[in-house]
Amino acid sequence: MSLEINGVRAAFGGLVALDDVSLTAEPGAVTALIGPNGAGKTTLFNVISGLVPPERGSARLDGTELIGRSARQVARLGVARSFQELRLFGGVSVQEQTMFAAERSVLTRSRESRARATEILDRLGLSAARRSLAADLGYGQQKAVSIARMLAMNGRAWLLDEQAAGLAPREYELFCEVVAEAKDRGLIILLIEHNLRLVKDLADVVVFLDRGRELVTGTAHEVFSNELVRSLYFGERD
Amino acid sequence: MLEYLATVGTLTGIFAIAAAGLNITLGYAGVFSAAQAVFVGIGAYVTALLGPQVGGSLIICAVAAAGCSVAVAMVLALTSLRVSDEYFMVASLAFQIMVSTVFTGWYSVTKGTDGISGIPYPRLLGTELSTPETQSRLIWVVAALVVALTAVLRRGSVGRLFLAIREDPVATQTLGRSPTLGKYVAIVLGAAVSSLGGVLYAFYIGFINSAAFDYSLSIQLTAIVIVGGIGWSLGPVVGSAIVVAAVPLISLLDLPSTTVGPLEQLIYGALIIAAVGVRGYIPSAVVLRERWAARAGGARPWRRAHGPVVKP
Amino acid sequence: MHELVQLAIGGFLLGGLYVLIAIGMSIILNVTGIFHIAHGSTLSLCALTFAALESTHILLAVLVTTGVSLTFTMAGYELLYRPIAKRQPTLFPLFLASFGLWIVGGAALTLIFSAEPVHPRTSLNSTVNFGDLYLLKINLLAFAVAAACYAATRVFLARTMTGSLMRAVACSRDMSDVWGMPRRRAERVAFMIAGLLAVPAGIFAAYVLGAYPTVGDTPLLFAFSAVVLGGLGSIRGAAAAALLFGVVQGVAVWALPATWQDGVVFAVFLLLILVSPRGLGTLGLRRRAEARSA
Ligand SMILES: Nc1ncnc2c1ncn2[C@@H]1O[C@H](COP(=O)(O)OP(=O)(O)OP(=O)(O)O)[C@@H](O)[C@H]1O
Ligand SMILES: [Mg+2]
Repeated sequence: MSLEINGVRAAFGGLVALDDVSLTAEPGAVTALIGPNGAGKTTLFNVISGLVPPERGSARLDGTELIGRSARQVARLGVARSFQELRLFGGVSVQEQTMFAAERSVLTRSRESRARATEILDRLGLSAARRSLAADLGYGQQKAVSIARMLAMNGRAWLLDEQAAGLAPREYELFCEVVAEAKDRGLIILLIEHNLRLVKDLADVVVFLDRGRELVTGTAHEVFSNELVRSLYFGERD
Repeated sequence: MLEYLATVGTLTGIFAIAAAGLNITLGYAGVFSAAQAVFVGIGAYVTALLGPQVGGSLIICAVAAAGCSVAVAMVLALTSLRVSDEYFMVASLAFQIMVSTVFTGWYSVTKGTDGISGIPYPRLLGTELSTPETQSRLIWVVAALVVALTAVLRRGSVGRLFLAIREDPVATQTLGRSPTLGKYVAIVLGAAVSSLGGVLYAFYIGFINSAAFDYSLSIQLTAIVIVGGIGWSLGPVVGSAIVVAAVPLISLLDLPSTTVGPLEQLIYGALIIAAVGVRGYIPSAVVLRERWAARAGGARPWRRAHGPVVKP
Repeated sequence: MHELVQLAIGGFLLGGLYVLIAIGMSIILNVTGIFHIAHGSTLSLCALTFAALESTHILLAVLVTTGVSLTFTMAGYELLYRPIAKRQPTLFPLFLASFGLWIVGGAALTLIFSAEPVHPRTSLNSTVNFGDLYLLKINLLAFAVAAACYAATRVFLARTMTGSLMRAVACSRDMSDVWGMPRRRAERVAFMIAGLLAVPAGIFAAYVLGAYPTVGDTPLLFAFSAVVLGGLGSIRGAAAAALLFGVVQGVAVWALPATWQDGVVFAVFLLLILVSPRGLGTLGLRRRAEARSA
């Protein structure tokens, strides 16, 4: 049971955004994707979640091929993702969008999804804001709503796109706790981060991506001490 | 004078029902359909043609009208499954004009602009509603029911799906739900509700012709929904009160009769612009209520954040 | 058969008028993302202004019409769309605003001008014969002018600095902000071009259709559909679709009573849009740009 990505290549016109990327994300572990801007990290998430069709390659969740399925089908197989730009439902209250994420169809009982949403919002410290419209919240709280939706989906794999960026210290701690809990529950967690402290603290495996190529894979320590990564990412010169 | 006011009041109810259908499609699911008058028209024509055969039975007419408009709406919704939002606006307008042409041109059935008269009084549970007062009461009861039903719909899981589609179809997909199916349902449901307005219109006026259901009715319904507050379940009633009842009061001013119509149009247009410009896309009433609720709940003062929705 | 050809050619020539409106709307849509349906009012306004002044001096009438058209279009952009776009830059509110402006424009024109069509007199209202085809000179002239305007617009977009700026903005509105391109200028020029193209369209509408306050509505609806059918982003596609509508509209009279004319055109449109949901155009610049945001 894992998320295996094999030889994925994706291009936009002439621009090759992903060039033969392979990696495996194990359950109960955090796999961090790092790399400079434009490296193709978000594109990889888009490929996995069915929003961008790759030219070739495969992505399997427990052996089930995800490529070629619609975004909706991928989500129903248990892949929950967040967006770098959040994509909350701005004009919908926090509670309602969490409930919506908890529902698999319109036949789901409102009472069940409401109970679930309430529990999640309590956990994330959003219960006071549950009736506000998402667009009215501060940035940190909006990010928490994005997490709330993912929790509500009850997926097997999480794709987190820069969810920790721009959080206040307390929000940041909460985020780490939630990720740690998810890890304990045996979820597959793939996260994109620029914050290297977080990567060091949370990640079990780090994958370094540059211009669409997956250059180095290893533990945080291994990757951060790699010569190539140091020169490309930290801009160190020898 | 009193009679005039009663008539206007009843028409307000009828238009509120017709607009409540559009409020589902446009207000909740965010699908801009410019073909709503088609469904009102179908409701009216079904009543005019079937009503005399069934002795004016309201239930039979309503069911038949809803059935017909659902069938037609499915054809329209098929296009929405295939084209993107901008395309659908245009496609629905094309659909409206095409059906209007059929209403006008299919003379043997619809009698075109000459129209069909002699629509019987409606009959409900064995009693004939032969006075304007009883019909008016009936219409307002139906309007209240429709508003209540749309409010329930809005608060339930279907309403959440519609709003999600309106706000962000891509995010809706990645949450495992289908925007296309939701749009489809929204169009069909909206059509069924609007056709009820058409049924009541035909019964109340007793005469219909094709000119009543051309694209200017679609425009008027859109104006009602927007002015009343997009996506607010009571919005169609408020909007209808403004557009159908309040604006025509200018005819009481001492104006030459040719200027009244255009002046009304001018006011609708200005109201639409004002509603978009001043209040934004979400009706202020809803926003205020949510904010008030949030404040009562002790939330932090909100900061303006980025997002697709902009507050007044 | 002969009659059919005659009708088709008549429709084709009238299609030139739709082309002028359609490419104006298409440029605005591509550069600014606004569905400027109030453009129908611009057309009516031009036709009415020209018809009212034509008896004084034709040059004066053309100049005043141009001024009025530009004023109306630019006022719409500066006073309506920009303030709204500043706060809600999405398709829907802007479309509604345009929709409102269209209604206001039509109503205001009805209040100011009489509802009776005014037909300016012209010596060109006679026919020329090609074999056994009879063509109105004014229609031929209208088409020639439309073709010239279309060509000029394409050259402008392809050859000038401003033109390339506009194409760049059309490709990606977000990126143009990032690169600090003067997007405002591109938008302003787009509206200006549309306003200018509406002038010949309005003048010929006055001659061919007569000037009345809602004369612009049908051309607007045709143009609106043509923009979509041509494929968003494709000016050539929009023009081709507009001509097609003209022909279909002309030919429809052959088999059906005139009341069915518009219905037939829109039925054809619906069929085509179902067959090819992305429009007939192949360029599709805007589509591609939009795929990014997914
Ligand atoms: N839909 C698209 N159409 C065209 N090009 C795209 C699209 N999406 C991404 N790209 C391009 O692909 C490359 C990779 O982008 P991507 O968003 O995956 O980078 P990233 O690693 O997530 O960067 P960041 O850290 O800034 O989020 C970039 O050059 C980007 O411009
Ligand atoms: Mg990214």
